[in-house]
Amino acid sequence: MTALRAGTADFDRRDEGPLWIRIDVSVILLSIGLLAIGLVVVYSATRGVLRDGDIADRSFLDRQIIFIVVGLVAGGVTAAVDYRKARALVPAIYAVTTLLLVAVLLFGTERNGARSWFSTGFADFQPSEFAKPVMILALAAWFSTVQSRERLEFVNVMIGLAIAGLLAGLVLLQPDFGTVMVYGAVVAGIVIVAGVAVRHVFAVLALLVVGVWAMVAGGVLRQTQLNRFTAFADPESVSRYNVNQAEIAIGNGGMTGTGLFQGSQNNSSLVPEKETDFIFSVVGEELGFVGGAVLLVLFGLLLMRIWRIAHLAENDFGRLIAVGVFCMFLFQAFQSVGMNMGMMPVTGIPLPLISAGGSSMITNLICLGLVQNVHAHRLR
Amino acid sequence: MRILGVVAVSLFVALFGRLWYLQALQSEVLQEVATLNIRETIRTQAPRGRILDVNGEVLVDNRLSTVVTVNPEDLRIALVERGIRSDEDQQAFRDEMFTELARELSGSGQLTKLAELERAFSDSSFRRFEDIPIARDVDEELLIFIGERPGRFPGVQVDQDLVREYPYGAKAAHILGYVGSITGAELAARADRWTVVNPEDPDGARVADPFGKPYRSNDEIGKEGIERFFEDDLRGIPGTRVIEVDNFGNLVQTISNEPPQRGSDIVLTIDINLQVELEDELKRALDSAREAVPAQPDDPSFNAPAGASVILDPRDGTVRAMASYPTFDPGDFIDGLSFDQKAALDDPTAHQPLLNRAVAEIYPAASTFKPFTAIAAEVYNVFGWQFVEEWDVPTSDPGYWDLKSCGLDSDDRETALALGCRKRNAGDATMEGVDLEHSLSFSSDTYYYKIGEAFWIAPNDEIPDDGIQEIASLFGLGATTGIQLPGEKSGLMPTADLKAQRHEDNPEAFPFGDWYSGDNANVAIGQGDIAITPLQLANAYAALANGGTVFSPNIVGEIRPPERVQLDAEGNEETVTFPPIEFAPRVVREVDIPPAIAPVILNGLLGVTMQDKVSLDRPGGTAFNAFNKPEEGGVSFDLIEWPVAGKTGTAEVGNGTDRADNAMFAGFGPSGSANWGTSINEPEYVIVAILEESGFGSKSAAPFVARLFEMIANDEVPKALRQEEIDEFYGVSNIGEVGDPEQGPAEPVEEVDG
Repeated sequence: MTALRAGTADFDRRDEGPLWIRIDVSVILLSIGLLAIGLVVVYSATRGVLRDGDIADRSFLDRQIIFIVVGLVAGGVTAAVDYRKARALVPAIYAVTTLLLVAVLLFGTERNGARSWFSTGFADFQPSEFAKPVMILALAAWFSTVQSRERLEFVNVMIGLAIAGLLAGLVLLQPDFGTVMVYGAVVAGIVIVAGVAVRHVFAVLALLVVGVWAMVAGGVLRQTQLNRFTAFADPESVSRYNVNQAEIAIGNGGMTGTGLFQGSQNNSSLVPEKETDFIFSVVGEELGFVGGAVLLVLFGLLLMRIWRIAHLAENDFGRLIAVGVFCMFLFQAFQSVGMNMGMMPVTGIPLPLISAGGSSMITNLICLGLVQNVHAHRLR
Repeated sequence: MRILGVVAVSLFVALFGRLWYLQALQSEVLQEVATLNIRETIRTQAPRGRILDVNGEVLVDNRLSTVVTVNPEDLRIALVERGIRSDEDQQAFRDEMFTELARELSGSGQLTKLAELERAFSDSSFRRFEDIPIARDVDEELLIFIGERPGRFPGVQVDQDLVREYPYGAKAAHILGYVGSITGAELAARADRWTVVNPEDPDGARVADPFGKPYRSNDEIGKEGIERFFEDDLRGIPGTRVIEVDNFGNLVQTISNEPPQRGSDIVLTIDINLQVELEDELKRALDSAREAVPAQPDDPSFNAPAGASVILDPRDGTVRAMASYPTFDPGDFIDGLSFDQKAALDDPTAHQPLLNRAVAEIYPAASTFKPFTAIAAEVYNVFGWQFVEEWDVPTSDPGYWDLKSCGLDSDDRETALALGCRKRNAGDATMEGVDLEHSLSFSSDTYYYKIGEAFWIAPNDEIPDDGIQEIASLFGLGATTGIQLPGEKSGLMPTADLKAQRHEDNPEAFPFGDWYSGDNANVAIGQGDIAITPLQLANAYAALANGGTVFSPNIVGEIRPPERVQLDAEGNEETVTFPPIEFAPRVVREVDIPPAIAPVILNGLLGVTMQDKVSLDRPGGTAFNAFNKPEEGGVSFDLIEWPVAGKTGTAEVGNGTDRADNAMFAGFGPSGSANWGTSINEPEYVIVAILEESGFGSKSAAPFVARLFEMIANDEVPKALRQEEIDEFYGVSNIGEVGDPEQGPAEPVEEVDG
């Protein structure tokens, strides 16, 4: 636990001194880069088509700025409180989140066929987003507790799955299949890093298949969601049409893009949900391959840093937190960009730090705060 | 943990790969799709050119019209959305909807049958995603009724478009023709018409002609008459507006806007005032011919079902008026004929109302042919040959001619008739003092039988067998005239060679191939197989009247291209005008009418309408009553001041059938000669009339033509009334009129390219 790694600074412990000198600056810089790109393209996607005398619609941009500010504050607070001391609060947070997810099913607002939101005057509050870091904390806490030199015991794996499953089940009832998929990626990453036996994986997968079949048969999963899920294989479906338009937009961008605000697919609103789920089509069209590549590189570097932070974490709890955030970002980025390019099924998943939306933005910044927290208390 | 790193790297490699594929490899294709994606081409209907008469009166115009349409595809989708899926259920819904529509339409004053709506709906010339017009110019209240009930009438829409308007109703219908939806064949024939060779392409590939007038299915196209003949000029260039739209159909920006260009106006040589009188008088003449009682109880009755008449200007060969009866209303063809209208036109007892008999029906020339036989006789020195007297030697006409080639010894009537050797005058009339002039004035057939036989039996090196036909052909008889109208017939100028050839080619249709003296005798009086159109006859008489100039008649005076609105270099609209294209007189040939007999023929033709004032013992010619005796159904005007030279004809039709003769008259004026003591003028009008199954030319055709000459001579051609003026006079209200016809072409109607 005291081994110095080559090329690193000559500190043994890094939880001394003020927080701002202990955090990872590159994560902040990469995040700022992504947030900047995000603000620009969200504005482009939402300002409207301007003809003579028209005034640009700034409402999305202004709210997005507010969300980022709120998110940075929330992330800063998250980073400041020592995660090891906060571990005791995890069961309580988990319980509150569970209650919120139950409450949204009862009192939430239904939109696009899913009861996922609490409506407020300014912005809608989406508990399933905030449940992501909560699930990461809960799983990290559980698996770091039961972890041993040996492989995890099956019963402990199943308890961990149950912890995640309760949240996932409630989200599935909304139903919000996309968010559940993100949960799944987080669970898979944490379980793998925590050390699961291969046979247990197969057992879980078998249970999952049976579970999905049961949900379809029982009508919990709606046909429209299945359709969207399988749309990328069916060239005739409506969802496929959306993906086609996104692909056309990206292809239209070519190497250098049409220029900001100049994308014809964007301006014609041919791509639906272009400021959220299909935001990458705007990036691809208006900023071209250059812009898309820069965005992917920024994501790649950010993920590398988070992976590194997980590697350097002082304890298993911290490592698993970082792994959870890593998996969450990786999956969401891949799923969202992949969907825009027709590689992945159509599910409503925002692109982290880019897509418009308050709950998602604040959640992502809280998650980055968690990672910074882990990093601030790392071992060297 | 390393696994996560590997997974992350491979996922990002996949993303980069896909991004490269879309933005580098597929970019060109996708950029093209993106361009098409947001562009929509809106086509704007271009007004057709108008058709004007010689004085600028508008004969065919455009007006804005409301039209109720049904779109089968929209209807089908609406039904499917309501869960009405099976063909039977959809049929049932349609039946119910059409029944209600038919009831509402009928209730609003437009009598509409359910079957008509069904027929329009299943019209195969429309594709299933196109709007099919089912009713037009409907009552405004009904428009609102339909517009407010999209649920009850799914797929039914109310639109506006431009349709043809005919200010003079059915007048001049055969000249103007009509328009209708383009057929598949017509469309195919024009598919590569509006292209030009690309000058920059080494292979000479064709590109769209920037001045082209491309068609799409259901565009209207001229089907008959001027509308058809001048389709390329009348058709406007549809406007195209390329716009960028968003996913909700909202206009984002206009990429390009080519305004529609209206078609060229066609200015006819027709005078609508004269035209209306000619048509009305033609109808009247046929009506009164039908009233007449045949001379003998066994004679066929005068059915007078049809007729045609042409008025030409012999000075330049322009057509002043042209009538054909029965006629039709071109307005009926807007949106196609209704079932009843079609049935009425197709009915055999209707005698083909769509046929322009003036150019597209053939008739025997009969006695109107005689001046040309006389010219041929003079040209080939037949006068004075053996049994043919010199033209100035009066002879006696026994009422018949026994063909010399029969070699009969005796003057035995029964034998001659039995052998078919006796050619008789009409009614076996006998005459005294018949010279060439007299033979024309009183129409002696015998005089011409002799000439006809002489041509055939004289040695060929002396007189050619087909000299008569040759001269007649020089005057344009038996050949198309080249008038600017579709469907002109050539007719026939029969010769021995032609008869033999036809028999050889098709022995079943033409069982006899030999040519006899009798055939030549028949040709000499314009019978036999001679077939001419009324226009040909008028044109030949025009040449007689003007001293031998044969024209190709013009019915169109000029084409007036519209002003064209273009964008100049700075993008401003500028108006460019083009000079009109004028149709100069088209001289086909000059025929030398032998000067020796030209005045004799003129005197003979003047004698048809006049009585010799010097020797009053001689009666007037065959049309004397028609031109001088109002009490006999004729007219009376100053023939000394405005002399008319003419020739009656009574044509036998359909050998041995029980059809009455065709009544004919061909004449010109103001003419005149010193012999008759008349004023001497340059003829300005030729009028020809052929009334089918109407008996003697002198009895029905001549009075009809005489009435027109009277009107012209007295300068009394009344101003023609427009249909709305007539309707106003009779108190007919115009229920269907919703749009303001004045603003018609100003507001083009847009249709979206799907």
